[in-house]
Amino acid sequence: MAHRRTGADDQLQRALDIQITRRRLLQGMSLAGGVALLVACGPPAPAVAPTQAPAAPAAPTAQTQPAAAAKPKPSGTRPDELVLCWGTFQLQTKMLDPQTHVGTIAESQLRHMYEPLVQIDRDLQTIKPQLATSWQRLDDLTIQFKLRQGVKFHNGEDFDGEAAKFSIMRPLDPANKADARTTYAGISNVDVLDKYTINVKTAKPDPALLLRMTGFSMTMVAPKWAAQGIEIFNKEAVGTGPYKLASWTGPLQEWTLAANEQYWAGAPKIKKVRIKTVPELATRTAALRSGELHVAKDVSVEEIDAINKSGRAMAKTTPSNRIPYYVMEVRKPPLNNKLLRQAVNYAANVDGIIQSVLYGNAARVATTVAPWHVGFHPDLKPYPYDPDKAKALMKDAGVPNGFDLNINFIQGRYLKDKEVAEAMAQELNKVGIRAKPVLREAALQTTDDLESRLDGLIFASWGNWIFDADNQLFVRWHSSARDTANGGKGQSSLPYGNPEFDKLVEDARIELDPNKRLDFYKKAQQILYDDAAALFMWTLTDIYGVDNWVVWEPRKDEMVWAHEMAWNES
Amino acid sequence: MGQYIIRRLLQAVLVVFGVVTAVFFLLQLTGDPVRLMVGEGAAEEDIVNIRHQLGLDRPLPERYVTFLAAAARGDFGQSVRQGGRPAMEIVLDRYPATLRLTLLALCLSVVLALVFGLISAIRRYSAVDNVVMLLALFGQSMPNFWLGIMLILIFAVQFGWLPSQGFGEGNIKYLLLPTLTLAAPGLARLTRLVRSGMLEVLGQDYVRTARAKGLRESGVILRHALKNAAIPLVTIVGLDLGALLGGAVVTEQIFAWPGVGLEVVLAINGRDFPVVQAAVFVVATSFVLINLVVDILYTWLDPRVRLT
Repeated sequence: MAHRRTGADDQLQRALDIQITRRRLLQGMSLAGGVALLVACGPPAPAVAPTQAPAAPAAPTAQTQPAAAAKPKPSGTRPDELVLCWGTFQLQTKMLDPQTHVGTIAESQLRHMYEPLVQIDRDLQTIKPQLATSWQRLDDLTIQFKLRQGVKFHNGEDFDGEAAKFSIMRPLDPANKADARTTYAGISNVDVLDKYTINVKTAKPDPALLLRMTGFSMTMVAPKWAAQGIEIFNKEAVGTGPYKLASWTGPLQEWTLAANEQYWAGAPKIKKVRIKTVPELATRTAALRSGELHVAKDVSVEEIDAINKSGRAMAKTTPSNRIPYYVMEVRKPPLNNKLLRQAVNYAANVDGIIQSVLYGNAARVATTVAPWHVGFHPDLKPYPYDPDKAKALMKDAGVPNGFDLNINFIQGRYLKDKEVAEAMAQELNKVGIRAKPVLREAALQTTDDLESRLDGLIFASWGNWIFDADNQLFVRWHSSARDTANGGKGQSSLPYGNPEFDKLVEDARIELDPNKRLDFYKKAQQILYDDAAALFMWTLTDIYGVDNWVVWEPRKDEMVWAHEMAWNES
Repeated sequence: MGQYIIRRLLQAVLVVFGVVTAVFFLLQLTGDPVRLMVGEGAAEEDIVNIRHQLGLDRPLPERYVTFLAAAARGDFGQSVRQGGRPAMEIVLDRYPATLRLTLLALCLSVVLALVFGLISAIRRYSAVDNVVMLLALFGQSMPNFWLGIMLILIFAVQFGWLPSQGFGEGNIKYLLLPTLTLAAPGLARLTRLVRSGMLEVLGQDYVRTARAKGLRESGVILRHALKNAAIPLVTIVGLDLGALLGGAVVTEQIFAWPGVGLEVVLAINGRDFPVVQAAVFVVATSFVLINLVVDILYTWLDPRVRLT
């Protein structure tokens, strides 16, 4: 007789089910474990290699660059539109208003439509005529500009002296809440002498005035159009630039540009441009490799080889205008002691970190000014890596057994910021400095900074947008920065005050003789160096991904402009 | 039924109110949007002025009441970081994209879970069953950001079949990878539940009766067994929705999907209170409403359940 299935059978069956499932589970887990082991036994985390000879501050890259002479051959059909891609959204704070933004990404994107009177050339040292054709300094307080004639804004308005005056004065008006107002605050007035001649006047002699006029806030906007009010900048863009705004639905969406066929210097070669933002680094690199974007700013260091071998795009590096360094809270222990500050500089194996963490993609500097900035001190040699000297200094300072040090940083904004902080801590620990990396969310770091709660090393990075030492040395190191910061309450990241230093940068600020000025700045940088006022590091190297269909070499100032690009059709 | 719905809607209001209040106090106590907004070198009077304009200098309880009163009218304030644009407008602008992704992921996981779970249960211990269970294990264990990037590397870079990021005017190509990434853990979990639920049900007496009656196997499985096995699923799916809405943030980041997740992260980083609060309100409301729909679905599935 056939066995009748009972409840007990069902229970047995269920038990068997579970058992088998569990066995399968264990099998699955051991399989997964095996895979994990294989993955883990891959290349180990880079240990920082101690190096003796400091790297020369020249164009760096440890990756082998394929022969730059041969233009890579693109595959398939030429794309219909050029797609430029960044990793961070920056337009949402001030929308399409070029004069109130301060971020480099916003500047790069909006300068397709807006341009200033004078522009810095790719070498970051020569100033070229743009909407001004010539200029001359009339006296200590005045520079006269002759404007380009026959230029029209995208809506047909004429560009002339009145438009220039309007545009220059607009960001200085506190009502417009320009983020970078202080950089241009020295400008007191603009006199319009005739339709195409203006005098720009400053309250005090300003040797960097011409450089300031290349700045973002000094771009020309159409006066009648802009007079409609600041809200118009939320939707439209009317400048004189090589591209017009084609479509825009909001700051967090893709948007497009169309070539301005009436552009005074001739219509740009690439007619349609799309601007995308892909925040995730891996996705951005993947999209470059799959041909969905043509120029990507900031691709990961680890993927340089993969991109170069992909046959579709190349990774291009350039020294960057951006200089990261660690501010030292010199008002609080332990770094209120000069010997300990120097010890940190000797023990921080900066060259080793450049090699191991950044794969050579950085150039060592002994100061916080870049080699191509006006006022750079060319003869300062970076602190050598000398752990014994560091230990000796610590002994002199009375802490032979080391001391505690916080390394404050945020993550995700600069290349390998987290890895650098961790490697730095590792290096300092080797000489007995008990360095601890302290990662904070940006908002909380800002709050702690403003309430002066931070101590030790504080990560900072500065993209000097007027390429002049004043923009860095005065704005970040003069004691006025410390005293007026945060409404007079001061903040952790602006701690430095040195009367001798102050006098030098004050004099340099109004010194019109370039040689004397350089001398002031050299002495000032020597003070910072001797005083070990910061942990000096490097100029970053920017890594761009460029599709083989695009002919373009990156700029040092992070400006990615479609009008400097062309299709690779040869 | 009508009474039940009304009661549930009132409960929903209470839940959303609680969530919004909790978030309000958490936000306001953790950071200063004005500082984050004005940048370097801002004059102190500027900061004081902006703070006054935004009403941030008033005491917390007063701010709360003002907020509630305005929110009841649908006014969640103006974005602190986006040039004064109404916060709710910003959120509603972006929310459809997130909703599209989330609902598609939900439907996909339910449908695929039913199919695979069913096949697994019927072909118990077979090769198909083993493969499905292994995939389910992977789906539940793999972190979604890893899975997303792997899918991109395979389908976008290696084969070039699908785009790696973006919205693409809503073209289905752009939806596939993000949906799969978002749905994976939920799908895996549901598949296993369907399978074990079905196995349980298939051993029941009434199934034996149905077979004995001479019903076709498909009728037995689909009409009788599945409907019963689906009951616990419905609860899980309702809960899963919460995980999906949350997981959408990471998926949106990976695929540069123009949804509300990315918006919210930016708003939180910048302490843009109005936008965060508007987003929380919208998401909480959707969650509660969808769960209500799910509960009503119960009655259709299981006549034994009386909505009381």
